Amino acid sequence: MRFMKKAVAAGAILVAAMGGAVVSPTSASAAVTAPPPDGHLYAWLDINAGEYYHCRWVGNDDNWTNCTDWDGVARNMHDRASSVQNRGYTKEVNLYNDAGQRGAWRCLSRGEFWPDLRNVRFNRGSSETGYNYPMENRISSHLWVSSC
Amino acid sequence: MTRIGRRGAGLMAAAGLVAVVGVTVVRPQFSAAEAERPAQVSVDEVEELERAEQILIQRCIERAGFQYMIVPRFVDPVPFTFSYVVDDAGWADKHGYGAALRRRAEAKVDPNERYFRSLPPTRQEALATALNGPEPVGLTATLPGGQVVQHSDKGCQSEAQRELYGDLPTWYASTKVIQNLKGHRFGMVLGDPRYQAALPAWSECMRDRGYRFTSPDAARSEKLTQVVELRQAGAEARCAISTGLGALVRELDTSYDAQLREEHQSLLATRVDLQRRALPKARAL
Repeated sequence: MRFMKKAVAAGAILVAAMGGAVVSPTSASAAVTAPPPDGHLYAWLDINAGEYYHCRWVGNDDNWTNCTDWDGVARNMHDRASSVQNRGYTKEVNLYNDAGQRGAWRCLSRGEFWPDLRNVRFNRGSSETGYNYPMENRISSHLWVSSC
Repeated sequence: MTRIGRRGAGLMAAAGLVAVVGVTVVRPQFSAAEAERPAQVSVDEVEELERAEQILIQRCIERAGFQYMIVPRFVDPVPFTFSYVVDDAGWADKHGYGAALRRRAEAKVDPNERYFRSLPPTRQEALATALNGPEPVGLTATLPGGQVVQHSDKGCQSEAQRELYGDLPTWYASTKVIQNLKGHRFGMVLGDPRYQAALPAWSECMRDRGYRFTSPDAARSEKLTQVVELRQAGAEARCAISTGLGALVRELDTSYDAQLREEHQSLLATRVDLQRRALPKARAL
């Protein structure tokens, strides 16, 4: 709960910024606030980690349908995530189009935040479902790996 | 240290020469020397830089009150071109598509990760923050296609890179764009008409061996037992060699790599420049 207010404030700033014509990456990045790294992968329903609804994982998950948030509340992030962040320590993480670590995937480096999955496409697994599709509302499972 | 000494002496001599002879005479020689520089830093130099970064990270993590072990960077045991098609029959007979090799490599738990997991949750958070920084703010890269990538400009990783490369935002942005070229190149090779045109012959060769796949990618989309994987990858490799598909993907991969390097020339030059300037600092550690 502790980063909810921050996240809402960030959303408000972003909305205010979007009143203008263009949001530059710089202004968007300045608006995003999130909790510090804690060894988890985070996924949010909204772009820019803009709403509280999220899931987080320490280990691997082969289906994002049942996941839990920071408060331990059960959530469903299957085909619903719009922004993701790797808050692990040294590991990187493959994000898959399908459950069971199947389908096309893309690797998220450590410490990295992708604020808007509409502009990110699955770039590995070319004959797999979802290859080259925008990742928004498509990620279904993940696997921690040593290197992207 | 000796290398820095020699370089330093060389620079001082050059400076002396400028003072005595005058800029007009010396300058062309200097530019010629610069023009002869290779477009990339060597593999050894990259290793020196990575090692220096690890040393700086270790010092920083230790200052934060944690342990950090310097470990070699994880290297994928499967060669990159095998993600298009395996074209080494001996390798394929032994490793298939490399699934078990990768699993074994992944199973070797990094001692830092083991240490991290041994800590209580609050300490884990403090350590992850020490390495990767707090909020993902301060560093931004916009990749071709419009994807925005963000990272904290704080934490030991960023501090180490700032100390080595000086201009951290430029280092981060150029590194992310360049790292992303690999995935881009992969897509370009698969979309190339020459690759597409070579698939039917490979597919026919596979059919003669009892496999029905339209492309090597399609062959990879099933989860296979190890015995099946070895046999199938062995057939794939033999067909890749006999039909020329293997040689073709290698050629296309090299050619698109060159094309992308050309397209991102100035960004690559900027990054190489940062690396060169970081080398003396790295060697002095």
